[in-house]
Amino acid sequence: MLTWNNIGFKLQLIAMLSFFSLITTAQNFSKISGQVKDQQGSMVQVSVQLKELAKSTQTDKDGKFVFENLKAGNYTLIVSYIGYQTLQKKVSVQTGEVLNLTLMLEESSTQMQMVTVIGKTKTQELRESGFAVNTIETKQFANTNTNLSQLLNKSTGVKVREKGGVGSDFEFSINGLSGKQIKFFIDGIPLEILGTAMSFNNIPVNLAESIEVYKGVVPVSLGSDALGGAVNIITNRNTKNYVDFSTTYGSFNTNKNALSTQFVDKKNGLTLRLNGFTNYSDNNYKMIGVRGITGDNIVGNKITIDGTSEFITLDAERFHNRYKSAFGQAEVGVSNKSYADALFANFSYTGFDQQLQTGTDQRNVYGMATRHGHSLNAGLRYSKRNLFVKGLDANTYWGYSKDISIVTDTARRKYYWNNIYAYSDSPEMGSFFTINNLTRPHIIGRTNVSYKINNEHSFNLNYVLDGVENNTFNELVTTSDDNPGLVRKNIVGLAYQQDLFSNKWSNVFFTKYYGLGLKLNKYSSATAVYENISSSDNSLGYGLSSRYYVIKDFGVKFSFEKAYRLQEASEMFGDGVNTIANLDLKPEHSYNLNLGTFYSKTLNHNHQLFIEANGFLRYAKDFIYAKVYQSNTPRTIYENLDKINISGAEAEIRYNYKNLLSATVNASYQKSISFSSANSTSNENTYNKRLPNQPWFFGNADLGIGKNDLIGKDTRIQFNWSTNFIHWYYRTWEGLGAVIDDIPSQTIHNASLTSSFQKSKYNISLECNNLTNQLAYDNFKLQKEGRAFYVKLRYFISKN
Amino acid sequence: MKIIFKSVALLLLSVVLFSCSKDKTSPDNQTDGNYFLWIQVGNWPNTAQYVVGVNSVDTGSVSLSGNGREITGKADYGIIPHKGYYYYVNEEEGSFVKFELKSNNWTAVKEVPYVHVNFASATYTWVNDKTLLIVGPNGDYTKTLYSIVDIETFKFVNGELTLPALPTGYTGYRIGNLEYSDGNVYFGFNYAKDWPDPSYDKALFAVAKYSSTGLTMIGTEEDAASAGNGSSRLWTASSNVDSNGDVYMLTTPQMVNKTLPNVVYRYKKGTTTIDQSYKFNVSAVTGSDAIGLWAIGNGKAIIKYNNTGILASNHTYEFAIIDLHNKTLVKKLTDLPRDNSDYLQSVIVNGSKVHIVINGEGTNDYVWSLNTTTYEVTKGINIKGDFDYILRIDEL
Repeated sequence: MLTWNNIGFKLQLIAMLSFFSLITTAQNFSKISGQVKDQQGSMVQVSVQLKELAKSTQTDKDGKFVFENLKAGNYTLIVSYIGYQTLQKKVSVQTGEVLNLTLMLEESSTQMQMVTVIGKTKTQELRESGFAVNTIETKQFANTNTNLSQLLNKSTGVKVREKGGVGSDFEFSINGLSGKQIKFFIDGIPLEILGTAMSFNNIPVNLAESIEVYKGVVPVSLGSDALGGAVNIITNRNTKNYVDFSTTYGSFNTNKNALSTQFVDKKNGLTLRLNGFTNYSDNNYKMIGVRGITGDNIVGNKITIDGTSEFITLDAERFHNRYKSAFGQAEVGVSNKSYADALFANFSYTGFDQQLQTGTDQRNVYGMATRHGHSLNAGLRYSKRNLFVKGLDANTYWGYSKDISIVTDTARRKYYWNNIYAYSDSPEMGSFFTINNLTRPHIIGRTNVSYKINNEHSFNLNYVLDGVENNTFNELVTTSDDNPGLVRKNIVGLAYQQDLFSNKWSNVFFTKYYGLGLKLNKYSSATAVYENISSSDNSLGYGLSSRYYVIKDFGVKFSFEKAYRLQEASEMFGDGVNTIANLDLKPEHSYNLNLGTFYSKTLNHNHQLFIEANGFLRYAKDFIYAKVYQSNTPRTIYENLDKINISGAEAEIRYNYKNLLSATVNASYQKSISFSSANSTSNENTYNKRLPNQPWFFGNADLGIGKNDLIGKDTRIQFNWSTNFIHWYYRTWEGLGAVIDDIPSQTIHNASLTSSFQKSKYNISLECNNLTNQLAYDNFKLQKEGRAFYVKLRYFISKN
Repeated sequence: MKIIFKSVALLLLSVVLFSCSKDKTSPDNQTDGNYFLWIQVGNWPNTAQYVVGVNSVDTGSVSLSGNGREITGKADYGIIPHKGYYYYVNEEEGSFVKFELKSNNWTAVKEVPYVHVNFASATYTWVNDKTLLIVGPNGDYTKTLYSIVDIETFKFVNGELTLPALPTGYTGYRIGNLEYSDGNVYFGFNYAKDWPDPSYDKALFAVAKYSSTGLTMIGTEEDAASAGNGSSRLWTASSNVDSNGDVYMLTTPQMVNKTLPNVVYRYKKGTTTIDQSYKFNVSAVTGSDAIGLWAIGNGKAIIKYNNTGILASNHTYEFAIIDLHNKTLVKKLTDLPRDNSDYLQSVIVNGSKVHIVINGEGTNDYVWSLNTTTYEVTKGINIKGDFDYILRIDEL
């Protein structure tokens, strides 16, 4: 019988066999090497492709590249870099010959602006790896008023659902898995280290160079217990001097500013990098058909409820929804030294201040509740290529942060949508009046070592230490948490990569070890004292990814992982009274499978077509959830009872024509089926039913048309249109009840027009979101913004 | 190339095919009965509560497939059933609502603004058929509030009851049993500490004078034989007034002090102090912790208790008949399967008709009827769907 366990065993066996068949032979192969330069000198991270073999590489810090173990013959080199004209060079190499070339690149007329990159960029290479991954180059969106979560929401398999407005709570899902099952990283470091305000719907697009979304199967370099997938933000790591500043104004009194700049002293390699942003919005968009209150007894905006008081239905502006946040980061260090490719120290601050307008349901209106917080972070990173021996690259990061967030719920008021309140002896949000403090000291260390034996075989070893203490207390009652939970995770990943048959077949086999240590002071009702309890757990995950080019430009890929999400202290130890401890709680795990195919074609250097289609399966077991008896019983216990199977498919077609036209269409389908039961001896009526409140069919279409030099030399006009569609979905369980409540289908259109001057030094962009002013919803039918306008001004300059 | 396009087309086609049309199931067992069952399905965060009506609970079966109404967010099962309607305070919306379930439609018949008592922690009783009395704490449990509601005119009289000041170290009041008899209002209360410290370990009782314009405190007293405030009738009954007008109140000390027993206390009709000659140690006759009490006439009552000796299953709740007047155990209803949950409205009494809903092991989910003469039980309607939580039963 084919079970998950013996599939896993077989995969391990294949991995081992492949490993032992690792035989490398050095014959009389040829070599093409060279250096890529522009007028200022050598260029790093330039993509160099060997067209005939579909091989590609990037230039190193000296602008050098090499293709080894080549057979004699004629080859075409394609050299590309954003902002530069792509160079194609035909070369011929004899048996045993070593070619050494110097290749000069010329800047293109549109700098950093909707450039059609011919040849494979790093993101394209990743798309053609064995992993199921979305990669998004953010540069083309640099002039738009978009944040990272809006950008990702347009890619296949990803759904970001927000409460509404700038800075609102959101849920990020990848192929149907969400919440704690998805982990976020910035340059491979868990994003949490930068604080609460550094969330995806807050980070301006200008702070990132690209974003990678790994679906279900996550490379070892992103060391975390990411059960459903991971998102990695790649920031600018080049060694140029640049300033990128932008400011946005728009509807609902929205103002956003972003700055990203770097100063490099070419002589001594001393580098200062400053990143920062501020976001502000009143988020006072209009709510349609909501409930207000009226009556004879209103003074100011306070009503005394009496026999004359009654409800009215009206359209009302959100009145307690202001959000502001700020982030500042300074990084100082050296690059390109003999002892370090990069050695940087960084310091950052994030802060946010937010008024809360509603609960999870928009019928629950707040008028006073707030949340604010800040975080301080310091870190050190070091990287060195060819450490000790050639092919051994290492990098390490160690960081500490302290994150504080405070939720205030002290108002004795019950608000209605027309900003009228009645005196209430109950708090707005919870059961008790609270000024709830959550303080989290956090330490993260990451070390990644890779060793490339030759062009065909390489290893990667990754270690992450993640330790956090959760201190929660209500300031109105106490001054500290007697009962902080301590979580320490040690995650080690080892990967072996093989690129066989001149990179035609590429495999990665990996294994991950998850070590978990938990500590909590738990109140014992028997002895009436706090007892220190601790627990540890070890789990071993594994997986592989494989890509095979069936023919040139057409490949198939497959990836698999047995992935884990480790239990948290609060889930395992409970709180002593309301949440009962469950020391038998195990980590959640899931068997994730992806099967995909892609086709990539460039015709006459003008037409670029990329098509990909993927199917996926997620078989998630032992999901941890709070078994709440009923709402009148305070007792809950966390148990490993949820089982969910998700299957789905997604497809995307991308087409570019020169610098003139770009178009993308994609669609994602997913079916999440519950196989859960709170009762282990029987299966409830929800068994084998679709999970409620999960969009299951959605798609996006983007169209961009732009023209250079239309309104003068070194200018560009760019028009973008995007349409986002979500099919209706169940708000509650399918098949149960006489009437099925659903969230209706929605189609939202957005458009923007950008003018760039002086080679994109100055940019102005006008944008309209939700052009047709559709009633847009997310979770639980929470209304989102209607039509909104934004103008963004951006200044960008870059020099070597 | 063809292969590529074919495979992409196949994938896209499968996307279209999978995204089939809405399968809104037509109801096949829709009924408009007098009996209403509340059921919770799914695991957090996908829990949903449904109400389904049936004509009879004596035979047949009922399921939620295409039947019943989902009411999550509109109401909760801590609700007041009364003569064809449900009454509910929606604290999220700041409203007092009168609901009706007809033809599987959950309709707000009338809804008015209301902000006073912390409803989820409150309890209620009926002064008469059209006058509802709600007593409960405020948001942070530092006050005890009440509302007298005329359910015909939707007129409210809101006020506050002054209980003894909280003893040192205690931070809030909890209200449990509540009864009206002969012009007096009787209720059980308790002093609570901040978590995780246990509450006050004596039973506390209060009496107030009722008038249509408000309540006036008469007095309070405490008793060391037990502790706890009893449960709220919104969720589970644990007190009643017998045909003589005497008030019986069950205390539930389990959350306060595991060593103290459940005791039924009595106020004789018209009196304002506890009948010290009457204390019924219920734990002694069942050997377990009682949690609910429903009078079935002639001084008899059904009690629901937790058989703490059962460890292998979470179905630990049993039922027994007790004689309140004679302070004796009449019969343990051992023919009934064990229920899986505690503070629920499990029993309905209408004259001599008594029904008990039990969420048994596996698919053994039935409404049982009790013969009030022989105390024999008979299996009635089958609740199909193997639900984890059957929340309450009402006869409207």
